[in-house]
Amino acid sequence: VPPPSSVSRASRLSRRSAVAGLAALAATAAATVTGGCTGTSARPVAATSTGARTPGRTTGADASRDVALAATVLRGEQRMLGLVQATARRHPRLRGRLTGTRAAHRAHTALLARAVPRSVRRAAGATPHPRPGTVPDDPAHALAALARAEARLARAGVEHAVQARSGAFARVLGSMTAAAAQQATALAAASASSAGQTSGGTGR
Amino acid sequence: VTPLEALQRALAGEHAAVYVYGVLGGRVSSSGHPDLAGRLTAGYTTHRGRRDQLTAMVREAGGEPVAASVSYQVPTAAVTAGQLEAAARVIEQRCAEVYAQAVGSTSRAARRWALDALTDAAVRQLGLGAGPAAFPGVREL
Repeated sequence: VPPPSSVSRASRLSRRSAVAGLAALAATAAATVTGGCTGTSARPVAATSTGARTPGRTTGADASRDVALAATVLRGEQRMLGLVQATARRHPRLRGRLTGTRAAHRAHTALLARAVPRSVRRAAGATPHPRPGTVPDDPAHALAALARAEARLARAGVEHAVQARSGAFARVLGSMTAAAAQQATALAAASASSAGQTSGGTGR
Repeated sequence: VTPLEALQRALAGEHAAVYVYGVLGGRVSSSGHPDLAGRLTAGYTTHRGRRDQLTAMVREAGGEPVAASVSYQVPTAAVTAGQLEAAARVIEQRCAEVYAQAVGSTSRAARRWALDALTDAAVRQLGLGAGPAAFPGVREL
């Protein structure tokens, strides 16, 4: 499987506009939390012909819940990134194979970090690091362990995306979930082909 | 976009996917490229199933399901195995985008369903020669 070229292809400008929604979310939440602004928090929730709430119209309370959710997702992504990096350190020969995986989770954490105010991140605690000895000695097993961790992240991601109040945020979370599912599939395939080889050759 | 509109857009996308997969499946040589033929058949079956589910979901939401067009443009001049695969990849990319939109425009059970469809479209792309992406279905990221 080729490395993701689309990760680096994203233009800064369009990324900025996509992030604006999340940043606005964080700003609303921060204002609500500090009691600085209540102008948007009283907005009624829109009803639709199907009787379902229309996501995207977020109140201040919704926004602060989404920011708390973003902080939770951020910690999960940081944990995954830590595991990928620990695996690359333990198995230098897998470094090339893991470049795309690392880039995807870096992109996720960078985006989420912009939606989560520093104060919320501090309250959530320090960035978790994988315990030493978590990475299996066998490269194929290490890839399989990463694949399982990605699958767990994807399953949790579905629940997080369902919980999101803002539709724009749910869309981004859904995309991150799909990305984790792609990684799970690609890493499991890499593990299987790496187990089939007697030694080396797993680069890229 | 209301939840109903999002479901209608997804249904329109699935009409296109079913048509294009049908065309691609008719062009692939099952003896020459059995792997690809199998993946195209699986794609066709999956999208036909989603089309039927969406039709029911639209009705349930009180809408009249959008009809399929008479024909759709096949994304590339698909003749060789590589071109057929690329055309299927494009279809999955479009479906992923439509479903990512649907995730943002629906809630609860419908959103969960859209998440499943988004993930399936993203993973299916890997079997069609695409690499993993950081933000599948969200083009501006």
